[in-house]
Amino acid sequence: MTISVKLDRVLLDRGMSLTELSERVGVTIANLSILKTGKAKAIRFSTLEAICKELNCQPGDILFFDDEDAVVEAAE
Amino acid sequence: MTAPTADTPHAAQGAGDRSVAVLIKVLRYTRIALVFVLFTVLGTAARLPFFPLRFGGDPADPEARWPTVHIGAAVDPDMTAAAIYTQSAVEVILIAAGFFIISEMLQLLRNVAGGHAFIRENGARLRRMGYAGVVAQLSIYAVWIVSRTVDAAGVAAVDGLTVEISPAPWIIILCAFALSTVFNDAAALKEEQDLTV
Repeated sequence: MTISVKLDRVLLDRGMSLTELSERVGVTIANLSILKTGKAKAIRFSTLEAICKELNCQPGDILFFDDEDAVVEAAE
Repeated sequence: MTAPTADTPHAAQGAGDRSVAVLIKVLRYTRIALVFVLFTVLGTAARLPFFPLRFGGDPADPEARWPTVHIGAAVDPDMTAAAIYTQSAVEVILIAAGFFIISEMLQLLRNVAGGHAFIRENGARLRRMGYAGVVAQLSIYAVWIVSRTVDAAGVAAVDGLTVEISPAPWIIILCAFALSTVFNDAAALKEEQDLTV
């Protein structure tokens, strides 16, 4: 997946635990773990909105796009 | 295959739950019954060589060959030993296929009862059931060909063998393969949904 989630870094900056975020956002820890470990295939706008609201950040602060193919092409 | 990481598996509810439980029970007893059927088939074939000796009958006389009291499966008195052996062989294949199909069906239903209906494992199970059905059908066709085989003089290769073939099982087999595809597609959708936060 070329989209990566860097939730742990923002959580560290805000000094918030995953459990606390889970309670505030209303998403189960299991689902937040899926998001954090990069296993998630999709994220609902409502979830993203809630996370951004609680962490006081932009979607771009937690979602990153790494074009793996482009990196490989550049190396070749 | 690991179970999907859903927060709450969509377990079958109420009447559906009960009917699945009943089906599981029925299939379990059917599987046990199949083992007994296998023993009667093997018993019929195994005691065949001893019959003319034990009863002192003329092997050419069907009545002498097959006394009216049968311990195992009922045998048509007109059948020859070769026909009985051939039929027993195909019956063993059919019972094995039936046992396999029922076992797969049981595990599939257990998965459904456990709330994991749409997983790739179930799709694979249905496909394997389809293949077992194909094997069973082909074994019947093989015996049908044997029953139709005659030598130059027009004498049947295996005398007294009657086989009925029907297109109906092929429709069931086709359904199994089609359902397998449906389950695989459903599993893909379910996986996507489970991994959406």
